Amino acid sequence: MFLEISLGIILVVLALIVVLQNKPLKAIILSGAFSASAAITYFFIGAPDVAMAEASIGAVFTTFVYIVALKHSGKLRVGYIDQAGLIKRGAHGYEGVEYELLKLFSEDRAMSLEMKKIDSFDSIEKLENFDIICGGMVESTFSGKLRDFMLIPYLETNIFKTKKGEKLDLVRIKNLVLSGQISPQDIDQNTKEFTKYVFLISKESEDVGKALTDFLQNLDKKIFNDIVRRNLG
Amino acid sequence: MRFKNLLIVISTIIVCLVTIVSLTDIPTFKISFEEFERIIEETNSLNTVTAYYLNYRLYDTIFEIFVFTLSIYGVVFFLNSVPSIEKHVPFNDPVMNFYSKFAFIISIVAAIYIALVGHLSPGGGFVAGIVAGTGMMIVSLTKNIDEIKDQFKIENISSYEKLILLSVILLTIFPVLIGKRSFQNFLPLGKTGRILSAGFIPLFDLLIFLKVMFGSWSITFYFIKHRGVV
Amino acid sequence: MIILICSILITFIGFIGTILKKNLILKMLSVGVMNTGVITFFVGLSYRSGKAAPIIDKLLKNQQDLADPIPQAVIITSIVIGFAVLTFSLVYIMLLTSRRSTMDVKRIEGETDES
Repeated sequence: MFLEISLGIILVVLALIVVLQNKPLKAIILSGAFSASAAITYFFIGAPDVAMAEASIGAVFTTFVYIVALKHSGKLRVGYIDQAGLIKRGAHGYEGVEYELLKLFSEDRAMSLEMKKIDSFDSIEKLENFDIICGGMVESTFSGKLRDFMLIPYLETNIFKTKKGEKLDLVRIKNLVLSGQISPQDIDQNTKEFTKYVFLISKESEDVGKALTDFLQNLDKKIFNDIVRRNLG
Repeated sequence: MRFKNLLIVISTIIVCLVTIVSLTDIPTFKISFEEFERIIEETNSLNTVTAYYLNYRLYDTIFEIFVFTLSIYGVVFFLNSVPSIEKHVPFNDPVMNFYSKFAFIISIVAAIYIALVGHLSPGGGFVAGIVAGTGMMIVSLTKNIDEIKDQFKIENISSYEKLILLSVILLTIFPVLIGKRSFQNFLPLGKTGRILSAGFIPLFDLLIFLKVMFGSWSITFYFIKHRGVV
Repeated sequence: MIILICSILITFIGFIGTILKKNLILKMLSVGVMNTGVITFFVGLSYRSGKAAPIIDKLLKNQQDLADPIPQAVIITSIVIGFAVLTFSLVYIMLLTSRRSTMDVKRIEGETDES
């Protein structure tokens, strides 16, 4: 009697846990555990035949099939603008802060990344077949202007004015100085403006935006600082 | 939206409670030992579950095998329209390479044993097929896709499957030719407790074992071919 | 009896999950939970007749309290068939997601949030 009650309670609780999961990989592993405990239950209540079938199928084979099917479950279409330090295609594949953040996010969600290069900012309003657009987007440039996109900030930065009157952000200025296109004297040090780097998320893929906001909020500060330090110094 | 979800949950809970209350109406059957003795006398199968699904309810089991075959065909057909991955990366670990072969042999031997003693102890064709399929899955995780193709002769497997399906159908209608009813256990029953007893039950167990083994193996192969190893 | 009550609870938990989940993989996992609940119901039915496994030992002359073999024989074939059909639906989900690049039912059907 006690055996029945405890096994039944274990089964019901495991079923609840499996159904309440929101991440597919965790749910698959837990459903394997659920099948295994169901097999134990069947063995103790006089059905060894059914127990063997359930153990070999539910706990082993189904888990394998689910995991293989889950791999690349959906693509994240990313449009990017080359920006060294943030996102750039190097000799060993992509590198940069934004790429590493997107990679962690896609691994968390079991999605694959589909990267495509965009040449300039100008045609962004026409680009509707992207989920995420990134590459040194600054919040103050876009706030209130884009109707089809939502902005997700992830990193603070400063905006400087050059003597020609252009507004440039920190990373962009650093890249331009390093490549020798402008000299450090051209930069007006006094006109600092605080703003943030953002991901642009298409309004059509609103759920991706919500998930990315959650992911960035829950991301370990240590990992985030490590990524930033490694790429931007 | 939230209101709709709440409505669904509440109505499901009400239906659930009604079902639980109405459980008390289900009658309990006590089966006497004479019933079991009659089953053993008629089929010579000590495992009465096997006696039911391979002798008394054989008609049902045959059509379940049909459903299994059809869904495997569906899997293969639909997976062929997915482009296969170009670069196949297997686990390349010497320890894994050695022990996967070992595990393969053990699982095949265990599967044949489980299939053959299906009428004496728990087991039977379905479980044995899945056990052998798991062994093949472990081996194929460590090999390249071309190696797997060469080793297991994948192009022959679908013809083997058709052959097994045909022989299952022939076995069920063969008794008509020798003057008995179809689906009747026409082979000699033998001595109780031997492996070669209980008429055609071990034969059907072996056929179902091969059928499920090839089926689960082709699921594994096409999943790995078109999706890659984890 | 307790096993029967638990099996019905599991079945309805899976049912609620099947309806309310948005991700297709999680939906299929909930269907799997429902399937296990139904199997548990049948095994529980056979357990009402007796507590021992329905496998006869030929040395023992009079075994009592054996479970009913018929529900077990009915459900044992359906486990394997359920596995094959589940694989088939997973392949179909894979095709759907490779064309639409998402697993969310709402995005596949192009719905908007009504609330």
